[in-house]
Amino acid sequence: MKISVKEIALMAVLTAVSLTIFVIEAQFPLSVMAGIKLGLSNIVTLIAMLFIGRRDAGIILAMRIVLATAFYGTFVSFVFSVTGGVFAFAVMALTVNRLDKHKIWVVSVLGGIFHNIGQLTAACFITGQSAVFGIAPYLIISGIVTGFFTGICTQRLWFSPLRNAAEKFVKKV
Amino acid sequence: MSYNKKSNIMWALSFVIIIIICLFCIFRSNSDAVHAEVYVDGELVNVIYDINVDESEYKISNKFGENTIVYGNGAVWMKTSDCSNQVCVNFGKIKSSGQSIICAPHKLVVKLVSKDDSIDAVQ
Repeated sequence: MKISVKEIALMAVLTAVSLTIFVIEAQFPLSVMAGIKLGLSNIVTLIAMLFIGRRDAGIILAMRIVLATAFYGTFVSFVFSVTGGVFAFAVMALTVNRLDKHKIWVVSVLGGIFHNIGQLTAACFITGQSAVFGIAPYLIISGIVTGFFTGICTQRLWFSPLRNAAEKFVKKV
Repeated sequence: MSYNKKSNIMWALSFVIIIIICLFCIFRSNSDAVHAEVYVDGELVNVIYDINVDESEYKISNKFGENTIVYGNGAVWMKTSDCSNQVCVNFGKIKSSGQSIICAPHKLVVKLVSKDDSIDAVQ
């Protein structure tokens, strides 16, 4: 595994962007129902997956989770982040190259659903109660809605004039 | 526009169907809850036998922390908790059987059950 210095720098910048979005988002909790949030930092993960590659996107996601936990988290929130992150990343990495670029939103929605399913699984193990799956319908709906929102954002970025500039930059790296 | 618009619509439709199924599941569970079971670390520690009473408080404190559960008029909610994330407090009221409030940092679960599937029906 060979990583150039420029690649490291690019990944560091994306991690910083992702972490910033994550922290800002944490300051404005959606009070509709606890535990539901937009997951805007997923945009960065998805963008990294599309522009650089799946491996680097995974590293950025892992770095973001570790750093966010170091700043704000507890052990429990770390477990939730990791399971959600792993589930979402796995399903997005599997689907991102199989679907055309007009279906980036589908990838994001699947990621959103599996992120929430992963967190539910973690809650199930932590509390030792299968009853937690009673709130699965709520979380699946929120996963679809928020995943759709972040997916549309990513897709807009992909089909914007910014993409050419970004791709030139990434190629130089 | 050369991409396959049809498959995009198919994806959207399938997600909408999933949402409808989920909504159906949510609204199907009507307010038939009578008992509230309180679990700590996976073990049943208390059963509130009737939640269709005037508002009452139930305090629970153990090595994980302190929680105040309020029940009454067919609903149960978490009033206070000294946990780190306050997810349980912000969770709101639960009214129907099968629903539960989870306080993950305190390993606490409050679960609503109907008359049929409660503990004493089994014993």
